[in-house]
Amino acid sequence: MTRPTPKNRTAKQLLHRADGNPPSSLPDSAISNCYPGLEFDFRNIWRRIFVGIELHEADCYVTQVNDDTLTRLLHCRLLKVDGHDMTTVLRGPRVAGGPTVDLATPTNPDAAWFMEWSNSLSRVHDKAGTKVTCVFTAEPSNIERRPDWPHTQVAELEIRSLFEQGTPVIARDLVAPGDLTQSLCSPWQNDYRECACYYWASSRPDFVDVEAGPDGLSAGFNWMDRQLDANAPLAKREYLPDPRPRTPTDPVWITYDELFQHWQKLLRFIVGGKSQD
Amino acid sequence: MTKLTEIRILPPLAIARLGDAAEPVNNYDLEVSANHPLGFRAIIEAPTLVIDEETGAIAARECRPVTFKDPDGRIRPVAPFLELWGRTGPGDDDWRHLTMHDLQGATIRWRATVGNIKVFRRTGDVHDKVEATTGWFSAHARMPLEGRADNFLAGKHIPLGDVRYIRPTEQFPQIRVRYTPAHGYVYGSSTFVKKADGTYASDALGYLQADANLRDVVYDSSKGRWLGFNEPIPPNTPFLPTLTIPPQIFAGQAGPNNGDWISSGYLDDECDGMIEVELDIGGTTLRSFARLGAGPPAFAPDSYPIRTVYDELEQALLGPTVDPAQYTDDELQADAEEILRRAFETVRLMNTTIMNGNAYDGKLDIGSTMVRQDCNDAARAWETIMAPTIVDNLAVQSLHQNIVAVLRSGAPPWFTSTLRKFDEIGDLTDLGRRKMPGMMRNADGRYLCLTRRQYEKIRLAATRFVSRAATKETP
Repeated sequence: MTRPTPKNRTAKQLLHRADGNPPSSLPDSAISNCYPGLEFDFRNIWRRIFVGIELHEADCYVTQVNDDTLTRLLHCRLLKVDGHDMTTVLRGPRVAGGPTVDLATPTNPDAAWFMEWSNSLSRVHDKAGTKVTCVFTAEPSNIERRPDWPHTQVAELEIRSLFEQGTPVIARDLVAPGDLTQSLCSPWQNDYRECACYYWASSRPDFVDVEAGPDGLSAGFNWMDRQLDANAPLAKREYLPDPRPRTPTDPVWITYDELFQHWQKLLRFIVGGKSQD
Repeated sequence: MTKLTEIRILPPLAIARLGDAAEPVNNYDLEVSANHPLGFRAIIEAPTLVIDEETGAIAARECRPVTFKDPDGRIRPVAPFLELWGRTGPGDDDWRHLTMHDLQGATIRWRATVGNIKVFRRTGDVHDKVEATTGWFSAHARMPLEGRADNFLAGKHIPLGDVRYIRPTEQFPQIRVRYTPAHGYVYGSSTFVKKADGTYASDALGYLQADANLRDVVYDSSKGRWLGFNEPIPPNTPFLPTLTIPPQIFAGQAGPNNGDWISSGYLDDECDGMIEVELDIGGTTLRSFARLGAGPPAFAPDSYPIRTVYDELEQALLGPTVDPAQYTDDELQADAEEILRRAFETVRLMNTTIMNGNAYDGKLDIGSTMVRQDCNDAARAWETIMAPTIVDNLAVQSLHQNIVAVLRSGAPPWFTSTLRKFDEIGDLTDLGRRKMPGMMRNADGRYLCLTRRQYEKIRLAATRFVSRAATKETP
């Protein structure tokens, strides 16, 4: 079996497979880049990484302050940590084939965009237990700001370790029960239809029973098509996109109500690319 | 046994998966074919621990057929075991799975605490937090986790699974607990279907329409706001920076104003939390805990995601850079191949023509693609990501096969420059959008990046035939 190669005992313990446990019980079976219908929204592990404040799980916005000396930071945005930018600028063409420009919009006049916590803060996590210089917007800001936003304030904040000391366990004071699932869909079944995005296909498949069709192109079914059939003739395999607007009684797709009531019977496992019950 | 100095519950993070079948899924291994490195992983039976329901002891350890549903179509839950390990010295190799013989004269107790605070995350009302604990226990019965909230109806709860201290025996003396998750039911706030305007739906005969989606009505809508809760977004309301990203991810209906989203008052039985252990032994008390969570099944059990919870934890633990001296060439090759294999396994199950933004039946914008999000979030020009003619799923699969072949052959690694770096997510130029991983969404809502550590492993593996020293760069 192929798995990642942890390089010390502590990391190896992350992938410790207890006797009797299937591979789907391990953290390398769980998607981390976040979709609402998953087992975790793992972005939540970063919310309390700085002592004294709490951050949005998916943005550099300060949602809560737990230290009276830091109340000035409430609802401000964290722009830099230890010299590293936490946001970037969106650039691209406004019209097809046009010049590359800053992609500002009325709701995002700075064309600024937050960069995910995990890769950004991995640069400073080894400073856990010490203070680093953090640059925030000077004022509360509902709007995303560029890292070079001129009106700023500075705070020296201690970084917490993600782990209990010397262990691979996520630290007790970092994540409370319920935190890792709080920002997922309620109920999760709803997202299997609502999302209509298929970036998490290894967990929630999209295109199944796929084979080369008579024209050499792929032929298969949408996973949510209740008529999918691994044995269907190639000519009968048609991928039908999720219809919009949706209707409660769509003739092809598994409906929301069916998902809530009968998801276990209707959703099929895909093994070897083929649907099966 | 020499005096224990430290105990630990392993795995440190266990994932359970919901299902209504009486028997959990049997254990299995996933094997990659040496001859077909991008073929489907074979599911091979592996030893399953069979628990005697009455005694809580292991009745057998045997390989059994692997099925993911029972004959009645109910999904078999994943119910992980968590083992108690200990060590007597400071060495990394001193860890071993403790047995009842190690614990003679000792007292052991366990406690599980879990939460489902999805409703609280939206309403901000602490009385909406659903929490459950087993309290401390040492016996071998199933200990239910009954999720309760202040805003629940009196006497109502959501079952969030149970924890059982598996009875050690002479045949199976090891110390372990098992978490069995809930069944995957939907709970709610009203017996009858309520519409977005606050009135009740009626059936064709004029009777109130019962809400058949619910296992039970648990939430007291006279106390809390969840039923009918509105989470508005623009255009009629300024975007609130406290909302989840994406927002409005709960069962609901559009409200009277454009941008309103009215909650149907639904809850589920997912949860996450921790299991703690205390061991009184030799005049001292040793403590440890591990994390656990319960989520949906992995519906493609022979496929893995590209970027995983493990990758995040490994990077946090070991850092974003990779010291080549710590890896053999074979290890780097294996790790890089595994990342590419996982990318392939996701792509294989995606309709890449749709995800690329290709027209379908003459219509554009038919899926929630990155193309749409570039346009919605940044007013970027609507354009497919890749040329529409080259993104058929089979063609994209061939591309990945080619990359693995290059990685194995030592040919010049053309593809490393096409990997997206984490600080390039703002690049929505044609070239920037075509970097890999392609067409997928990152934790920040823009195009997917690998962890920096994953990126570095691929780069080192790809350039190992050239010169590691000559290829230093910041991932």
